[in-house]
Amino acid sequence: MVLTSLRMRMFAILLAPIGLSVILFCAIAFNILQANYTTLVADRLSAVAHDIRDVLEGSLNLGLPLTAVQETQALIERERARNLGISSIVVFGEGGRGLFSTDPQIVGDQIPGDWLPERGLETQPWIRFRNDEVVIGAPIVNSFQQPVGGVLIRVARAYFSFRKVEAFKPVAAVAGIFTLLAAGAAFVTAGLLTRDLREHLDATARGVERLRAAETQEEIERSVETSPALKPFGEAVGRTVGLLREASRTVTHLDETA
Amino acid sequence: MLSFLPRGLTRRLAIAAIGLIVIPWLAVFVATLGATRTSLGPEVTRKTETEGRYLAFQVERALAFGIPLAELYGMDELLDATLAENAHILYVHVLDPDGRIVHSRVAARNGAANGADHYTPTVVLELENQGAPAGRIVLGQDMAAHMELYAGVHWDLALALVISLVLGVEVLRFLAGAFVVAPLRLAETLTGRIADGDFTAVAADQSGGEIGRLLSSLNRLIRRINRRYEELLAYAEDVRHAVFERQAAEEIQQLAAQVSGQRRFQPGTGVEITAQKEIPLARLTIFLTWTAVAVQFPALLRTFAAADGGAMLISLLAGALAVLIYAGRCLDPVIGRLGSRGSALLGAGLAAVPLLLPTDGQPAAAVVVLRLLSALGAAILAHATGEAFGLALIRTRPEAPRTIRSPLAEAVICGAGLAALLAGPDQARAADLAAVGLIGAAGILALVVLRPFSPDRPAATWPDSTELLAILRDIPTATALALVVLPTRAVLAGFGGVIVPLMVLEAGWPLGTVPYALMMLAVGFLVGRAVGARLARSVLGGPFALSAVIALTGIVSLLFETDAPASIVTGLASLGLMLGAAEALVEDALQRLSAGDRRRHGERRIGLCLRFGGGLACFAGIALALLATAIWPGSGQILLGILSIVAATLLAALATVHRFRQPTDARLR
Repeated sequence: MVLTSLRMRMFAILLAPIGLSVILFCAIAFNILQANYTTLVADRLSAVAHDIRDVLEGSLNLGLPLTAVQETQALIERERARNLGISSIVVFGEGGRGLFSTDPQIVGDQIPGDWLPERGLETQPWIRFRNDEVVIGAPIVNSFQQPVGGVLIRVARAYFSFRKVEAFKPVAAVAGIFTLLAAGAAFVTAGLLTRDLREHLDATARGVERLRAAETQEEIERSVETSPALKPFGEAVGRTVGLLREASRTVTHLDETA
Repeated sequence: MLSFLPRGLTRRLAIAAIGLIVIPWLAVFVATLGATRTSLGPEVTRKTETEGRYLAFQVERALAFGIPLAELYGMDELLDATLAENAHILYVHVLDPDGRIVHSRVAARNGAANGADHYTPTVVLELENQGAPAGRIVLGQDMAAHMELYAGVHWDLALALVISLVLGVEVLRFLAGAFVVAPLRLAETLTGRIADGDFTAVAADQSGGEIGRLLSSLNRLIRRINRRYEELLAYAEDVRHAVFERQAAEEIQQLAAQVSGQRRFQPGTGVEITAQKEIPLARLTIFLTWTAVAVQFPALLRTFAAADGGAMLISLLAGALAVLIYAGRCLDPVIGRLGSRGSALLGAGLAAVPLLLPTDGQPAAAVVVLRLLSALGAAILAHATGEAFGLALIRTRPEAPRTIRSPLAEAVICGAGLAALLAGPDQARAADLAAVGLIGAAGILALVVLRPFSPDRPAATWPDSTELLAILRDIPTATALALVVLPTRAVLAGFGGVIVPLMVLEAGWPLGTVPYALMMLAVGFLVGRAVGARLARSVLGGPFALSAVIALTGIVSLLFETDAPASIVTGLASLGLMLGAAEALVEDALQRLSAGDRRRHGERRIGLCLRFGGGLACFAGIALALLATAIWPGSGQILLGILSIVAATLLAALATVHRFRQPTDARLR
């Protein structure tokens, strides 16, 4: 096993927090990019919805009903063409009926409830995340501050994250390069930190092996004399081995006597 | 005694790791800032174009009425409104066809007016009047000001560094403890035993490397000495049989006593001992919690700011509780120095910090840091109060073991700390927190008053399996355990099971929620396990106390209105918490079995049966609750959900009892 040596163990132990941290940094960086991108796109499309809403409210304030604002269809078509990512724009009136839309199928129909705010139509804009699309809405308010309809911008959900991988590549590359550098430094550090310990362990193992092979008291004493730390340990082993040898001799003597 | 473990090895490793973590962090920090600018810049420009087009539309509409560009009434107000609503637009100029500026407004904020040190790419839009060029609108973008929106980037990444350092050191300590310190201690133990004349144990570690080689050498030495002893015994035995003289036999006996003396031998291969790897659950829990929080930190901050108090309160419960408990445990030295009273004062002071400092206009991360500070204070407070509480109990009830001293007090105070953590200066959540506090207090009071089993019985004599068997005389042990553990497990998991589907049904699955939710599930499991194991041995211990506490959590989270993604995270964290707690109960129940019961029925089999039965009960509870909410949505769903779970629990318990009762003996043996 590669990780059995002390140096490699230490290297792995140092590498684990580094790797974990880099993954953490990248995950957070990824999140930051994704979140900021989503916020920006939502802001921009909200601005488009507000602009359309302002135009329509201007007409309402002149006394025109929402259905009679003739420039609406051209306006939403133009905005859809100008703004990336919009799949359709819908203007709906009271009761949630589609009045104008870049998608003709919606005109005249009731718009789905989950395009509207959860708590019903109010004077505040809203954003709804659906499974496959995001719906950004702005209410149309008449002169009496009553919501009489709204503007909906539908955006494919994929649009909110379509460039994140591409944007994240440089960060990942930089993280990878510097992780490799840090790994190299970790390898050197592991070697430096464990040098004395490795020598100590190897010397002790050699001493223990010599102790094991030693038969006489002199050999036992000689086997630990190169390692002062091993001396008390060797003496304890020597005493036990001596006793066993002595006992063996006594038994042999008894056997011979018998 | 031989020493192998160098002093301060882990500390030196930790310092090295900290240095090495900072290198990639710096790189990622710089790269992320760069990527933020380059990848988001075009989108900023698109937004400016959108604003510009709106302006152009308004201007062209006015021009269509025949009003000259220079005389458009209200133009300045329109431009001012545009600048006010868009932090990233530095100025707007309206130019006539000859290129002369006829209207101009400049944003007067943060010294942006002079444009110094600001990167200001412009967006130019042509104006038309009946097909003819009518002028231009020029919008200057203040990218630097816009990047203020991303000031959180610095905070997020700085906090990521702090979290990584804490995490990194924890991981490093764990790994170094398991793979270096523990084997070295094993070698020290072995050499120490040999030095004391104990040759009974050999190391189980067979790995290579320097440590493995040393352990193998020690093993060989021990086995050689044991073999010599074994040969001696056999020889002496032969001689004893051969020699009938009383004197010789006595001599051999004396010899054996002399050889053995203080020494111990283990003829044969020797008893294997393993390295005692410390895998503290609290450390592991905190590690996962920090990971989960850190990975989703930006999203969490936004949710923190946007979500309602109830949802966030529950979604952070698992993580914050782990932090508090962990911090409490780490504070032993502080408590020791300051004493209970001093620590309580310090804790209270720290907990009050967020209430004293103004947080309006501060970055969200700063508020979170303040709240974490508050949590730390609450942890100190909890620990100190727990200490005092425990001491008081021990004084008044000498028979009460020391283990009872702090869990309850810590739970109460940690709850308060959690409230401080989440509420901070935000008084809008006060009502939610008060409700939680009241319910929690009522639950704890009920537990204190009701006290399952004997109220005067200290934790140490909590009924073991023998007593349970005596209580339920004719029912096999496994059935008794099933009666106690299964309903608890089912209730716990069932509540989690209600929360999850309710929230999934209501909220949908926003991007990025799934990994976080899974992590929270794991974290919840570990926290539940840790808390469950601790509570199971507390004075109010056992399944009843835990089930009541966790069930209260479930009810509280059901009562609050929730939203995505916090709700999904909440549900899964709760589910994990409850499953973990249930798992701890199964383990605790198994530990309470006497050795004889364990051998007779097979611990593994009993455990498997309990888990399997519990799993079935969980799924039944979840399915019934889902069905109930589908049939009867609205305010009654909570009650119906609870009733469904209770019914499923009873059914599952009865089914399990039946399953154990009939063929139990044949099955378990």
